[in-house]
Amino acid sequence: MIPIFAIVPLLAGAFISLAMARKATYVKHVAIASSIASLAVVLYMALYPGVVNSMTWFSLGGATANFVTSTAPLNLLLLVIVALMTPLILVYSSGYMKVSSEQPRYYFLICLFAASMMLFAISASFLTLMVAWEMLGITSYLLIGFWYWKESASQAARKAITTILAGDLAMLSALILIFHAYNSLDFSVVLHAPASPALYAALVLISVAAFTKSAQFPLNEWLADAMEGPTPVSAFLHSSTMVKAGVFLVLVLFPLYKEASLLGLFLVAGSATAIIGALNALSEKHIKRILAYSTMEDLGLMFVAIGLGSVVAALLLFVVQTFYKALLFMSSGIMMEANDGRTDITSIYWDGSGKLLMGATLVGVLSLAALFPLGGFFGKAAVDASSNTLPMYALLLVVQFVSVIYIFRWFFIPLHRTPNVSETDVGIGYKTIPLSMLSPVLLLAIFAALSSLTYLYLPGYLGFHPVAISFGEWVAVTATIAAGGYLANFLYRRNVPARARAKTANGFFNRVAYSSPYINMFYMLLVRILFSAAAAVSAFDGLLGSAVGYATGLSIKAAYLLRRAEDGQTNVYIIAMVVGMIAIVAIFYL
Amino acid sequence: MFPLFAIIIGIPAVALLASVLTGGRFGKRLSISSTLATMVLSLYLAASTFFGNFAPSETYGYISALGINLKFAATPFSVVLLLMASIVLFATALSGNPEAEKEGTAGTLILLFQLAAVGIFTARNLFAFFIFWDIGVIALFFMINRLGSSNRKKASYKFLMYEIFASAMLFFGIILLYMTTHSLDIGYITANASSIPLPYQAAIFLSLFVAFMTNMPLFPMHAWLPDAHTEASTQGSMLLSGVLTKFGGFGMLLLFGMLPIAHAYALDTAVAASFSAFYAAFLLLKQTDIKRVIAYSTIVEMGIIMLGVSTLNQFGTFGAVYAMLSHGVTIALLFLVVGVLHYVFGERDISKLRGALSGSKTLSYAFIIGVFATTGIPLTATFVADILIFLGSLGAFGIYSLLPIFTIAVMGWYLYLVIDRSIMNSKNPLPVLNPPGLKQKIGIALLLLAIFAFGVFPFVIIKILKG
Amino acid sequence: MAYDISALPYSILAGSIFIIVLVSAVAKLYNGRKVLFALSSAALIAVVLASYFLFLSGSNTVFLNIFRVYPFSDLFGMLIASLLLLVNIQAFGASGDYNAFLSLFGFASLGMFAVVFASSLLAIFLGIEAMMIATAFMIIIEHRHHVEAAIKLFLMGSVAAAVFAFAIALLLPYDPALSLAAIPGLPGAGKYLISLSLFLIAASLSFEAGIFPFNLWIPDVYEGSPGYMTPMLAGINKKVAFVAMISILFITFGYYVHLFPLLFVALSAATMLFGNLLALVQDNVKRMLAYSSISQAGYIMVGIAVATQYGIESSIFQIFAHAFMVVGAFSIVAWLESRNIKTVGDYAGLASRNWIASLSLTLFMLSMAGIPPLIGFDGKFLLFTSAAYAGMLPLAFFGVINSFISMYYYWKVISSVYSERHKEKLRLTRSVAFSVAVALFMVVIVGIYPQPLISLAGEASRSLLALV
Repeated sequence: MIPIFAIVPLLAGAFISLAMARKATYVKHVAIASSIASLAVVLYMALYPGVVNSMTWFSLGGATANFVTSTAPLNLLLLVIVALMTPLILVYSSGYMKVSSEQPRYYFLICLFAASMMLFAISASFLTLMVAWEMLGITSYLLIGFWYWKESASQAARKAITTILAGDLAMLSALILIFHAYNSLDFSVVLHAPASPALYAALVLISVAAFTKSAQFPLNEWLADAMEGPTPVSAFLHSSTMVKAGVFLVLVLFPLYKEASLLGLFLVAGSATAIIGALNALSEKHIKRILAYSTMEDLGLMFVAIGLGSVVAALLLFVVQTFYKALLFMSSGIMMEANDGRTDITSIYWDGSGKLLMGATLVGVLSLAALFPLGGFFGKAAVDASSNTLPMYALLLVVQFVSVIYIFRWFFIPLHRTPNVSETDVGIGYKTIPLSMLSPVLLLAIFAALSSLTYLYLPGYLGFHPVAISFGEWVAVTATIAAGGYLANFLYRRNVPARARAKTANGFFNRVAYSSPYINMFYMLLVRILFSAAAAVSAFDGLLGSAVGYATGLSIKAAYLLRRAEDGQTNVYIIAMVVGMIAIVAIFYL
Repeated sequence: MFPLFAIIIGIPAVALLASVLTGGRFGKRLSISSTLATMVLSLYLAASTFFGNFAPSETYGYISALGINLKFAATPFSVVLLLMASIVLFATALSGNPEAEKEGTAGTLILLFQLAAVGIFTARNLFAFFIFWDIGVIALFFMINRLGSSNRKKASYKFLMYEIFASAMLFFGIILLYMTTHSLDIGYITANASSIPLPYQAAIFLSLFVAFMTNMPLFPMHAWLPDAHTEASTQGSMLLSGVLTKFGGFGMLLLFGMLPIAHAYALDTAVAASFSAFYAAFLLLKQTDIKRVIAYSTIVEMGIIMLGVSTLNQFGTFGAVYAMLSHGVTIALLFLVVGVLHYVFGERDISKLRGALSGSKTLSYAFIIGVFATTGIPLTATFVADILIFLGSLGAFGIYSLLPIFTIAVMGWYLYLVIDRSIMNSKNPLPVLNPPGLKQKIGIALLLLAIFAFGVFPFVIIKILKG
Repeated sequence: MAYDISALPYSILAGSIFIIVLVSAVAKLYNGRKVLFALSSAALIAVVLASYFLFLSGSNTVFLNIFRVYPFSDLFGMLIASLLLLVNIQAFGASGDYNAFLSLFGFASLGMFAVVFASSLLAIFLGIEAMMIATAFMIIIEHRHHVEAAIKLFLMGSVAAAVFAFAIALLLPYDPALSLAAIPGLPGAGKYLISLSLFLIAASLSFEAGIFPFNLWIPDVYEGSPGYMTPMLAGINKKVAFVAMISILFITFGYYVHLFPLLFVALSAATMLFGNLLALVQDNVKRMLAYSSISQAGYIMVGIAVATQYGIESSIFQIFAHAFMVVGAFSIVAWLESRNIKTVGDYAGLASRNWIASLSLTLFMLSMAGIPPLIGFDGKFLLFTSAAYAGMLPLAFFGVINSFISMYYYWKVISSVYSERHKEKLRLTRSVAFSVAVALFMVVIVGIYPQPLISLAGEASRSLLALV
């Protein structure tokens, strides 16, 4: 079966959803059915891996652009993850999306996104990659701006698409460089191609593109804003799948990067992003933005692992992060739902009725905090284990420490908050949360817990050497969790005076650690420079226009002067004739 | 033999005559049916070129005393551009006039322009080329002058003076060519151009280049375009950016294919083209009228097309043709949508138009897809064009020739800002004055179909281009 | 010899003038305008046909030692006679004293044909004088307020005539018969004398032809003339002067062709620029057209400056082209003037008042601006390519730039015509409509398919050069 068949059911689902605008109530069933069909196809494909299919898109002058898809193990890994997540997200969405008039558009976009993500997963040429890459970009744009009438959503969408656009064009340039250098766009050709300056430039450009998609510093600003989108979208695109496209791409091209000794790029960007993400998460109050910053941190860690040369560590984190982050996002969606749409963690509460949910969420929290033996532990410990120097190791532990604090902060503040009487009355509460929203969370909790199995099987499946996590690692990570947990408990538990809390949370962190405004300021500066340049060019253009106008005016004026000579005086005419004759004769004889 | 070109050119000529003789009463119907017929014929031409070695050519005696024949032939470039022009023309005739304002006049002028467009893309003789060129200019002058908005007189004047300047330069270049080769047959000139003395080649190149650059337009001859677009009717804008600017692009292709001396100037023209693209991209940032924004995007795109032509290699040249194809349909779509938006909401200013998506989904999504297509998202035609052009320029001029990609980023950024400000962002859209009609929706759908068809199946067009 | 068929056109005309004078004396009593009109028109049509058949026969004969009938003269006989016919029709439709007009008209026509069919410098001199004097009086016929224009024409024409007479006199030593025949190239003083004569003849003919700086009178006279006279002045008198110029320059001074570029390149360029610049700043459309016809004279001069067979051919073509364009345009403009529509501003909304006239005017102006596929473009193409062939690239370029400038003022009118809406309709008079229709036919049909006219012009130019 050719790999591209995997996306056919979803694509069909997407367009059927769109066409069913009149019968919006059935749309969700169509979408879910199509995603399950896709999952079935994918699972079937997983049984027979290693299929490669190539279609010629165009060929010209010895160069051929092929549309190649493949189900090599690495491709299958992402394909299965996406195929697995899609039905969960759609089921969750069926409880989440209540306005039926928006449903066709919503399911269309989600299915289209899932299809593009699968296409990305199976892409084996830069052409396929580019198609999928940009489809990811535009579906993500439209999903972030899903509630387009909200100013914040609209602006967040623009921020995202602008960053994505920069990445796309970097990608396009890279594609052109590679196509020019090797007359082919197939990964199989490029991966075995001899190094060249063009390839080097292309790799740098591709890494820029990967950074935009994976929100790496300094192109990270859009991700937190992207939380303006619907929560399932955040859970799907902006934590578990799309943002990891950049990481995945670099993983696919890893041999080239290694050969070109460009890994340092990822190390620097990754660690910077991890620090920024962790610190921002610590001072943020928006329930989803905290998770978004946390995602940035995770992505940063993956790049650190790549930078350290450990593909396996990056892949492990890549897989386990999918589940716990999606889980946390989904439960944050439920929390917001139960709290009447409020997003500030200081005004959200848990109550006793959501025990099951709370338990599932705790699995996610602990997994993120990297508690053994949950999945998160293996991901993060593997990254730690791949670090080769002490400062690097220390840095990773610090980041981990901060992440323990912020995730407990995220968990504790609502947990320990006593809701006002009015809130409980007005809010929907946890009792009415539909099963369709709850069940994916529970399922994901199981996945998050079981994802630790990847540590055992994944490297073997992909043909890598497994990462050894030593006992020392175990001790270090666990100690970090214990210390962080203790500190968080001290800072954010119920009885600490509000003053102290406010001081720590808002004082230092908000002023120093919350880097978003600075990065934004940097971009605003860029925009201002751009606009100043535009103003200068525009002024020049005006000058040019008036110069043309002035020249025209001058010639008209000359004509007016000439007209004055023609005043109807016959003697003037005769004089002109005589002068003319003399001139003619004079010209000739002189 | 089946006189294909006589029919292709005869259809608008006859329809035009009929429209004039009936005082324009059936202008709209005539223009729609005539453009539809041309679209069908050019699709037939494209299909037969794709499936077989179908290269028809027809020659009609004209001024035998001067050795001037009217030769029409289906060269690969002309087949593709004719296809583009006929699609844009049909969409324009069908849906470009939602206000139904002066339908008869508009229809008649579309027919006149159609005559010019089909003529210029199929002519293989510079005399005929020039004739059709001027007919096109006049048709669009009247289109702006008679059907535009309040300031249209001044804008149409500006347009005309620039275009006539171009036409004068073209005229001079043609005279020089005729003088040096004693022929105006493009094929003959191409075959014998190397015998033209170099100073003459330089003079010919210069005058023709100035002519075409004014029409495209490139900096510093661009000043007419934004004003013309601001004041032109929707149909005028669609034809102006969609088809008329391609006259210059097509001319550039002929020029660079014709004169060997072009190789000596290729780098200069590439630099000039890139500069023009940057210049326009910066000017674009200062615009508040959506139509003007799109107008400047045309200049950016034409700069990139010129870069493709300058490469003088297969990739760049094919890319330029492909870009003309894609830009034609894309820009026509954008102008159509903006025109209909103006019709629906009565507003075109970025800061005043708001929340259009809440008011009209079709238009807003069409606009958004148009912006995607402009920025070159894969599976839209512009993507293929960009790849080919920059592949060519990379081969011809090295890595710095990738810099104009930055202009796409600037343009895209600002277009997304437009979407943010005007299309999304508000719960309270402007009141809908008139709902868009079915014809407008069909036109939009046709152009969207073209954008995606050319984007998904590039091998079709590329096979046609390979000949 | 006296009964040679080649004398036909001139005989017809002379005979009919005689008859017309007789009839007009009688007709005064019976108010027989129509009879006179029919007679004169029939005579002119007969001249056209006779010239055409002579042209086809390709004969080349001298008649009475003053007239020569050969393709060049036949072609212009055809042109002048048909243009005269149009003027005659318009004059018939106008309100003036038609009888008086006709006798002067006959006189003027005799002069014109004398120039066209001339085989002697004296015939040309007399013909031009007859044409000029008769025209000056024809201007006055309709109304007294045209006197100023007539006097100006007469006065300036006299100066030109004096110069012309002096110039011919200079040639007497070399050709006592003053026949229109080539003067051999001479060494020494003779060369200077002959070239002086050449320049003076060129200058004096430049007066009627409207070449700078001998053309300053033109706008005043055109503006001050009655409606049917402007087409005649611009479309016929001027062309006759060009015929005289071409035949004298290329026959008499056939061995001095090398002198032409030096002189005429400058004259041609100056004339184009002068006409165009001044036309830019006119509000009165008639005056603007007067200046535009000056610039057109500059274009015609290009062919003479080039001084090759191809150049002459192009000039002949352009003379034809401009004659019909200008007759058509001036007919409409004069008709509008009679309804007190004079300035560019007054033209606003003309399209809604009479769309046929507007469309025709637009086409005439487009043609004058050199927009294909109209006749003016074909003419310019021929002229500028001839200049380029002769290596006069700057002149060709200058011409191209000038036609670009001219676009500005033509479009000012066209744009105004199509601007507003006007309720009150205007009806074309039948006589004007006929002229416009004929001119439009030439401008559009010959414009689209110029081959026949180019062949005619080619044959005429070859027959002219064969005389040297």
